[in-house]
Amino acid sequence: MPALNEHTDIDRVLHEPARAVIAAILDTVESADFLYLQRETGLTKGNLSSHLAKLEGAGYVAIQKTFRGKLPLTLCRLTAPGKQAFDQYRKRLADFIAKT
Amino acid sequence: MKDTLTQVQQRARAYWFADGLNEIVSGIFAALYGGLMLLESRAESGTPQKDMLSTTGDIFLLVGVFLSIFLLRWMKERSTYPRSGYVAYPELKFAERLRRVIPIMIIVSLLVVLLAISMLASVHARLWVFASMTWLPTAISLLFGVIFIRSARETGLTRHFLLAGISLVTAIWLGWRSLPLMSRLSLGLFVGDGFGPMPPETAWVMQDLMTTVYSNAALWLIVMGIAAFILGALARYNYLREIKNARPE
Repeated sequence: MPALNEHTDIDRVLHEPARAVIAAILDTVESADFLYLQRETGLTKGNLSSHLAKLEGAGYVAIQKTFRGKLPLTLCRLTAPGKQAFDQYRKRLADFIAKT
Repeated sequence: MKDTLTQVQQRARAYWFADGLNEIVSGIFAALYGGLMLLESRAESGTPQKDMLSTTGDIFLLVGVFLSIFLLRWMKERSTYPRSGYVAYPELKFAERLRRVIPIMIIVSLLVVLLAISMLASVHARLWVFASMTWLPTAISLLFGVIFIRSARETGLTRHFLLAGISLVTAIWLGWRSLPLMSRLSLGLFVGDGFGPMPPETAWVMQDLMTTVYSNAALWLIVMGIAAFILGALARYNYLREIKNARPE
């Protein structure tokens, strides 16, 4: 059943609404900070941290902890493999919707 | 219909405009510069008042552009990023910018040379160039209408559609204002070899033409500046209200 396999081997890291939204935002911009991602996704700090850790673990997101003045700043950026994975994920979704 | 991820990406692209500061700062700058241009176009030529307004306008343009950019970044650093987060947008590398700019510069230079040669060679070209100049503010107004429509489609911002509409309506109005000048332009005004001083009649028409072009450009800047300021202020009010109502954990 090659057709079914095409849909079942979808990227499980990105196939989660919150992580897909984070990847979509980071795919559009160069980088975004934690506060912006929190506001846009509506997640709590703990949830967002957990999703970012999963994306970072998969090598899709690079996280840089820095300071702006005296305030801590957590900058998140989609890596090249992350961009590739996200593009592929969107194509898969579009294919799946087109075929069903 | 746009899917959720596309909407999320559109929101991310629109974030630069979310706080309304861009429209407020650029609106104030455009309206003030337009005001200076309008005063200059109404001042009698050759008077110290006109010279002073011209110098003030040039200084205001040079300083104002840099000051507006600095002020906008400073306000975003102080007000927007601590409230709703920081986003950096992809920037083109210097080499990439250069690669895009060089062909445009070559085309523009060739066009200028071609126009200069054809103006010297043909009386029809002279008439065509001056008649085209009459429509310059209308063309700029139309161009900005298109730019705002493109921006509105990319960001989903309704106020950019409104600004596009205002710019297009202003283009029609400025076109209407330019019409009487067209009847004054004729081939007879440009007869000659193209060298030496202009005949007095041609000089008067040219002076009226330049004054109208200048005041039309000023009116466009004033209208767009005021519209951008009002829409920016409304966006700012909504942004601050939204931030107040939805404080994250």
